[in-house]
Amino acid sequence: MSLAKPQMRNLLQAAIKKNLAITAGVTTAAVAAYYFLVKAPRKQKYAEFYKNYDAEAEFERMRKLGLFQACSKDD
Amino acid sequence: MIESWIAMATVTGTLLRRCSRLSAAAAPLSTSARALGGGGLPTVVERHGNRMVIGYGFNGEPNYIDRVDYPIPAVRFKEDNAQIKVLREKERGDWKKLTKEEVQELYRATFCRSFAEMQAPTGEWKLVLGGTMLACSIAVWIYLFMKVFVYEKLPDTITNPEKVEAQVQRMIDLRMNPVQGIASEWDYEKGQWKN
Repeated sequence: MSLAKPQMRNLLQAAIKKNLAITAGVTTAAVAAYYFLVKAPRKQKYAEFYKNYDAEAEFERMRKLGLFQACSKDD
Repeated sequence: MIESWIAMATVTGTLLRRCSRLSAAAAPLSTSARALGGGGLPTVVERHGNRMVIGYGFNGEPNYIDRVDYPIPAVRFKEDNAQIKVLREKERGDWKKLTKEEVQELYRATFCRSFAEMQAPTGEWKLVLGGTMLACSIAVWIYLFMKVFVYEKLPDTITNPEKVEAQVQRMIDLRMNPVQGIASEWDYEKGQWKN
């Protein structure tokens, strides 16, 4: 007959505080994971692709293949 | 597996029936003014029998219910008998003098289930999960039926390998999604797909 006395008051406040702490932790972890696993690599890939990108050369290549409707394939 | 489920359901059912059934005596009509039909109000049958009213209850009616958010119901669970009356007198004194069995007796006279029993897991989630999976499987069967008997054939432009190849070649030539998409999966030096 000697259990510890249970918490009698402020149960909702305690629950809210705990939930807020868990929310803060989980959302921070989720955002950090998304940033480091998705956003940063994607930014890196785009930077690498466009570092030495020659738009004119690509355009000429596609035109000669006849892939455009507005430009003819002949010179 | 199924036996344990049936056992659990039986225990839960018994517990629920035990805690909400009427008192042993027939439910007499109350003698309150409402019951005698003053002013055209409906007759109220008060079913708490001889059970002592100990509070307002969660809705003001003299009912018994186990609720975690409203712990003290309006009436005691059991009707008083001589044995309980003796214990109630003893309860007015020093509680340290009560034995463990007497405390249990007093508790069970007023309450049906303890908090632990009230909040015990019911295993209902298994029913819900099983029912959900059953519904999903029926949906899959319905889709298969539709595919076989209802839908038309897929168009030639996506089933014919030559046409698909021509379309993909065009995507590669136009460098569609060159950073992370389809044109980035092609190895331009070797003229084949990357691994």
